[in-house]
Amino acid sequence: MSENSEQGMVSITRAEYDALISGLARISDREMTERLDIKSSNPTFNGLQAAINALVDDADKVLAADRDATMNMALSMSECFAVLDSVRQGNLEARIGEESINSADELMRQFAGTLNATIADIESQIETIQRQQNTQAAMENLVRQLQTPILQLWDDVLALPVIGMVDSRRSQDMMETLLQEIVAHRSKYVIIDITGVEIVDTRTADHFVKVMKSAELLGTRCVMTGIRPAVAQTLVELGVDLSSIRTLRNLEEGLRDCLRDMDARKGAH
Amino acid sequence: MTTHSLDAKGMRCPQPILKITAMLPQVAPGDVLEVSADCATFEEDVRKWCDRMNKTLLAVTKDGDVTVAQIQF
Repeated sequence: MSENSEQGMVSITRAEYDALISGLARISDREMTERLDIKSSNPTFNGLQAAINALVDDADKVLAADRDATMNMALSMSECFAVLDSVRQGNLEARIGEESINSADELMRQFAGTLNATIADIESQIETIQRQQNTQAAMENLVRQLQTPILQLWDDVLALPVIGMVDSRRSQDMMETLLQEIVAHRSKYVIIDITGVEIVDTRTADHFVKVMKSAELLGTRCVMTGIRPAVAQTLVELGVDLSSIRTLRNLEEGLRDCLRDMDARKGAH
Repeated sequence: MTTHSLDAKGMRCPQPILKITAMLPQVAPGDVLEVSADCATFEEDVRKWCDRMNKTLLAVTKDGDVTVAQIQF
């Protein structure tokens, strides 16, 4: 390169120009990792090289910072995605880590924090629902038990007082519980008292007949007591056939009947 | 154990990393994902990704400009 003082111009040789263009292309190709290092005795050309290298250094720093920020953002996004995927698979304990929570990017910090809070809320709500379901199941179980109280009135005599509506499920519970108690106590008599039953339709009556016949299959003598006048009237109107089961007015008569039969059997032996 | 493949050639970082992340639902724990990429910073990036995501980087090999990373999920 030479300087023409009169015209205020500088010039470089063709070889220096070609080397410069080639060097700049290399820097671009290698993503700012290269620097110009062209041997020359021309101080102005060397100054130009140094200025270009300084510019590339600055640009490289900016790009590196930008790349790091982008990469950190990508890693945080990856982490958020992984946590969401884990939650989708049922792991409600998954949470975004500290690096993303403390990300340099404000939006990412907010996103990660909100995501963790949302997952925690979902986890809490599911726990509440599970607690409610457990409580409900326990209450239903308790109600079922209370619906089928079996009392031992006398030696060998069990009583099942029935109150309220009797549907298929309750009828099934009654049958299972009564049969278990008959076997457990080796009871010979069962009194089913329906004083507390205000409405009996054909289906309810059918349930009672089935319960009593099942008990009789175990060798137990069954008596139904406490049929209210209105219930008796309904049963007659409906044409329900209760002839196959023994019915008495109330629980007291039922117990007396059982005791009489018990004495008669003892006398017979 | 199944080996899955991901061709991330021609993508600039962090695109390959995000592509790996997008594979998460498809790759079961223990499976291996083999990723090919020609981004200059891919190896450094995939190491950071594995550290952050608790995945095992089994191997990194180079074939010319292409870097192949094997990641165990």
